[in-house]
Amino acid sequence: MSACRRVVTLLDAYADGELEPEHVLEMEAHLADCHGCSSRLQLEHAMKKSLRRQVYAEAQPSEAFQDRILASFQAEAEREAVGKLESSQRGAMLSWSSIVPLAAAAAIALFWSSHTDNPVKAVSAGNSDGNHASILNVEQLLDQIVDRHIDRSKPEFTEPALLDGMEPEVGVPVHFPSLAQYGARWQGGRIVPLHNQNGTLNTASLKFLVDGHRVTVYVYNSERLALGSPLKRRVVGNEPVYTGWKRGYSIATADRHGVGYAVATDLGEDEGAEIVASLH
Amino acid sequence: MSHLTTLLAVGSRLTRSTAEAEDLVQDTLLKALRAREHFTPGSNMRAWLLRILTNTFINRYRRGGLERSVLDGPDADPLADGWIGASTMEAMRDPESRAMRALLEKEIVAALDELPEEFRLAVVLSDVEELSYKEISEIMGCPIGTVMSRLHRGRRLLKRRLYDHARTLGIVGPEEEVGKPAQERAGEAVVDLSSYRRKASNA
Ligand SMILES: [Zn+2]
Repeated sequence: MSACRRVVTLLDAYADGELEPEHVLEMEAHLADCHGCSSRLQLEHAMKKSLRRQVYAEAQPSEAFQDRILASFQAEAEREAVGKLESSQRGAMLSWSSIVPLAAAAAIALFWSSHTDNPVKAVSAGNSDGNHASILNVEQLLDQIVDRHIDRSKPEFTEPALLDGMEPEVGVPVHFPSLAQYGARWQGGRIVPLHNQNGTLNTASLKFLVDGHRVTVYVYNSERLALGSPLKRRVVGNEPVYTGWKRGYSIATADRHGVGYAVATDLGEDEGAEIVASLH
Repeated sequence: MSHLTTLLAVGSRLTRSTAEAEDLVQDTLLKALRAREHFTPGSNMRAWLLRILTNTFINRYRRGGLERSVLDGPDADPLADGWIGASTMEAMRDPESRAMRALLEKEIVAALDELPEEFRLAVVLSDVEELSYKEISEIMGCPIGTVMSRLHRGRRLLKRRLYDHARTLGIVGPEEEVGKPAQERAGEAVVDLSSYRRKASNA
């Protein structure tokens, strides 16, 4: 009983992952032997799990509420713009468009949140199930990349300045890819989650039209998602890239210092490879 | 989970009203937008927003700080929740989902909402939002030791409430494993909510 008494004072901290390492061994040794304390710990975990589920089940923002928040951000951005114009002698030099996107970017960052706050187990080709599973994994992900390439749903935004706001959600900086040399027309962007049995990883999906052909650029954290084999490795310029086909669409991927790029196109394999090699 | 959902979840438990939570979240976001230069890039934005939410709530509804709870109440014996035995604790859980039994889980938000605010907020920030003790202490403006005590007491009250509910539903029987003489138990710390209320209003 006195062992339980001692351990119970540390049980909350242990359950919360806040117990100092020097007490953890003692705690775990006791839990292995003591049915009462391990039941107590399991009940703590069960309460946490139920709380999380139920509190969130009751707190889904309605469409009307989301609209109201967006409208209030817009109004705030306009107030700021007017304030800046009035306080500036050369007010005319300040364009509204330089201020409004800033507030809107803040809005988007708030709406999108960050998984970097609370890392979730994300997809990775190098999982413990071995090579075969990882190839299946990549096939599964390429399928989703094609699904989202051909999907016609409206982009979440079309203002390129808002790309900055995607970083917290995607986990890596997202820059506007200049595909000007291909005569690309920007269509808009959205966050696209990719799923597999290990979890979910958010990517930035950026859509373009090149000569009437669709080009979708995905930007993601390549430390958590490797899209290589079964695609073929090749070198374009000096850049190593992976290319291949999925359901009639060409796919090309590249990794630039932790930032992953995948391009899905209605164009050919060489065009996809050239586009992905030009991204950085 | 978007920050908007997070703020609405925590705000709903603080205000216990969807309409008030929506107003609170809107105020919070506008304040955050105006104060955006004060946010340190790379730090935890969710914790920063939750601090603004908490302060906004206090300024708006609770000029004197969060609803009082008894800080120096009887809490000396950490085994004071020894009233509940291992088999009862097991009966309250669902082994499959590793959560509470579905019937109890349905009651958990109502049980949470009955906790004094200081306990309720600590429990939400830790158990729902999974913030660290340090982050919670910054949000609630109190030492880490106080956070731990609020969490411990909040969870104990919650457990008590769910146990009572399990009794009502007949999921668990009367507690047989108390193993203490009745006289000893009578003098033990009172952990049910109504006695906390009484103490709080007398304090
Ligand atoms: Zn024990």
